[in-house]
Amino acid sequence: MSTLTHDMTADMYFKVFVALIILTVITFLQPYVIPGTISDTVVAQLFIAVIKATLIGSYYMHLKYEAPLFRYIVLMALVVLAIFFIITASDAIFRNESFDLFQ
Amino acid sequence: MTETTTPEIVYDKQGNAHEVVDFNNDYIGAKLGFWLFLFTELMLFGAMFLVFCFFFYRHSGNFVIASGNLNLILGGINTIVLLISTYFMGMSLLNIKQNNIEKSKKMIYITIVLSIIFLTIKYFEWMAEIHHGIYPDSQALNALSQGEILFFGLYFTMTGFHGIHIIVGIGVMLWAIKLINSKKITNEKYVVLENIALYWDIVHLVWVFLFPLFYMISFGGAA
Repeated sequence: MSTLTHDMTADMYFKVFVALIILTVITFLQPYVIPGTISDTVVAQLFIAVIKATLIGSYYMHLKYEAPLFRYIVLMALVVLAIFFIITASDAIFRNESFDLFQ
Repeated sequence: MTETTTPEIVYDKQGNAHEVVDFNNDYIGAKLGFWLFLFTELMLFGAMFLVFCFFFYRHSGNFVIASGNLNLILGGINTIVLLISTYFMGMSLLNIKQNNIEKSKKMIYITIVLSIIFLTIKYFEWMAEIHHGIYPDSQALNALSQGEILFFGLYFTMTGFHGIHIIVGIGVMLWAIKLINSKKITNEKYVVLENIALYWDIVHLVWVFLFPLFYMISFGGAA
């Protein structure tokens, strides 16, 4: 397994840092530039957050350079969380509907 | 009580048996173990985000109103502070690998200072809320709508948990400096520092989602 993370350079850290700063500025500006309804705002904000999270995971947490096993652990965590979120979302959205499975 | 263990045997290409006495610091094992811990961290914060999303969906109007009470400037400064601190944490790891011991230590100290700045700002933010009479189960809070009560309950719980992680982070960073001083973290044996850097990135990652969900949703009511 190649898990030695010698591929990382100071240059890469700085580039990712600049990218994260730019994305953070976009986070602050988004409501002024493209004002929208509550759901628009949430979707736009979370979209930026996911991009930031991907950058942090891939480069700062060097998953890009790790053995596949480490990526599978993260993938598993995301799958488990996704299952929780989907089941709970179906409860939140369809509660008290005629076809509510949880009644 | 004495424990008897079966020695672990490995074989070389000629088929000769060797007893395993040491895994040479087991770099991969140490990192794998830490990633499993990070898995549980994702579950911990993931579950809290799940609760947040459920009630946000059901009380979105009240959540937007409550979110307007938070100090966006202080939250924004904290976002930047944490972002810069993760950069320095990463650089300290890079420097230790390149055997720049003093530079690496300096980077950890900068990270610690930034963490303390984060906590100080957080303290003033919480104090502002508490001075307005808003804290869990306060009279002023209980008089508000159910959505606002839930919002502030989650706000104090989640930023509180996040704050505890920052405090623990400062503790392990000081420990890392102690290990560097006693030559237990070197340019060849740096997995402890690497794991601390991973931990710090997770703490940052949580904030990346906390900030928009708690602070930025206040803009939702504009349209």
